Amino acid sequence: MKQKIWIRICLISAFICVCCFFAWMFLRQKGTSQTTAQIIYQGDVIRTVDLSAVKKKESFTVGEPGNQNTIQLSPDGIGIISADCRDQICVRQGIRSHGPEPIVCLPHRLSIRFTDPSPDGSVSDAAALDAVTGQ
Amino acid sequence: MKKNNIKYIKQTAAVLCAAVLMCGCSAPTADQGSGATAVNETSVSDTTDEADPDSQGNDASDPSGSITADEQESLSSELYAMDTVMSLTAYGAHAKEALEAAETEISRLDKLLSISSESSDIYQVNQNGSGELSEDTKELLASALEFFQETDGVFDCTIEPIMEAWGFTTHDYRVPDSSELSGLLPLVDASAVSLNGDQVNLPSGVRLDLGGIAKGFTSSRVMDIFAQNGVTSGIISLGGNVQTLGRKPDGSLWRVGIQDPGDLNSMFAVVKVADEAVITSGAYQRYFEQDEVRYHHIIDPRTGYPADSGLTSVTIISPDGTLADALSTSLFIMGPEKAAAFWQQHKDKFDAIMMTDDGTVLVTSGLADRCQITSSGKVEVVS
Repeated sequence: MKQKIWIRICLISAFICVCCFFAWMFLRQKGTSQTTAQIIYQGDVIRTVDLSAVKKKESFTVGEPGNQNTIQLSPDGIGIISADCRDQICVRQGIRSHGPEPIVCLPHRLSIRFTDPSPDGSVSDAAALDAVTGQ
Repeated sequence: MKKNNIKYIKQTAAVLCAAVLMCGCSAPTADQGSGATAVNETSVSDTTDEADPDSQGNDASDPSGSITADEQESLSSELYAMDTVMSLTAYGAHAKEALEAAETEISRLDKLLSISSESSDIYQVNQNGSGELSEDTKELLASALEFFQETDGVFDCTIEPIMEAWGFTTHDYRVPDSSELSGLLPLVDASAVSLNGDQVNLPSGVRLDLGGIAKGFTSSRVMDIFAQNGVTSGIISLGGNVQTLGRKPDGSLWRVGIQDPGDLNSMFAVVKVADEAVITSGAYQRYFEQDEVRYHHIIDPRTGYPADSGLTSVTIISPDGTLADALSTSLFIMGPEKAAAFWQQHKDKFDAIMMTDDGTVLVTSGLADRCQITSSGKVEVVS
């Protein structure tokens, strides 16, 4: 009888362990697919960044002076923090981590696209949109 | 006793096997994480609008019931033309040919309609005061002149001298003085443009600029090209001018967000569309500041100054991209009351979502069942 109880306990424990493993795998899968950004400069993808892996702030420049943008990566997302273009529209687009529309510096032909625009799978989130008008 | 032990061991093994199989189903797929390595990008649609009634469609047959892998596969491209960045996405087996044809057509129209390219129809006419137009330029100019009449002169394709004075065409932004604007205003009059057949004649000093409707015209043309190439589902954004072809491959409607003028990273509304253009004009899109005053790019052709009509954003939803482009600007200039009256007279052609200076959202009644307002401000339905 005692042996039977122990076997039941083992069975339940094994089931709980497997469920935990399953939940961990599911969350891990969501984590890796949510925040990838492509930096496209004059038609070429120059860098692809998994934003969920960015743990600290980092800045780098793209282009030469007169045709230059400074891009910042941080745990909050990615954005253009300075540019020597005239209109500064790209800088005003701020730091973002998702969305169907890219961050664009038109004069320098630089864009940042979010290749998987779903941050949490929520359909109410802006990321569940197919496009954004007004930009 | 031994028999029982074997039974429990079997049960344990079964549970473990089931769990392992479940884990296998949830494992990341190979294409996740790293992203594409080229601007032209292929992906497989992951659109599963759960519990979305739109996915049932209005058609008698349920479109989601016959989706194949080919139909769900999308191809996207990005290009720069008409002074903006454009993204094109087409679904299905013919997406590649459709995108290539669309890009070729966009480049052709860009060259034809540009005000700065010496080979364009518009440049030649503006330089010479007259000229013969190609078929597309003629069609677009005829539309522009119709919109001028329909809007009582609010949409004016001869606004270019004023836009230049403000620096919006050259990026040398400045505030022109009132005497300069007074001198330029007589040159802003589309009623003086004479279009007879292919021939156009302009009075001295008058210049054409079809930029106010060129992107809308182009987006409608791209939809035609997609359809001609066998594509039944696609979405494009020409610098934020969105146009859709058909429905999404799973049969649901496209969801297009409208940027919040107060927070450019947020939306104040989401509209669901199929076979329609969604085009917005906003005071927040292009502007400059001088002496702490903001001057935006939507100029009232009657005054020569940025429109101060009480609206901050106007979005037009219509099957006709050219019309949507022209009316987003026109209704912005008209202001809320006149815009509502204009819609009532033309409600068979378009619907609109507008935001006033105080954050009130005005929605025309045709959108009531397919528009979600996400802002916390007041909402009024125009009927």
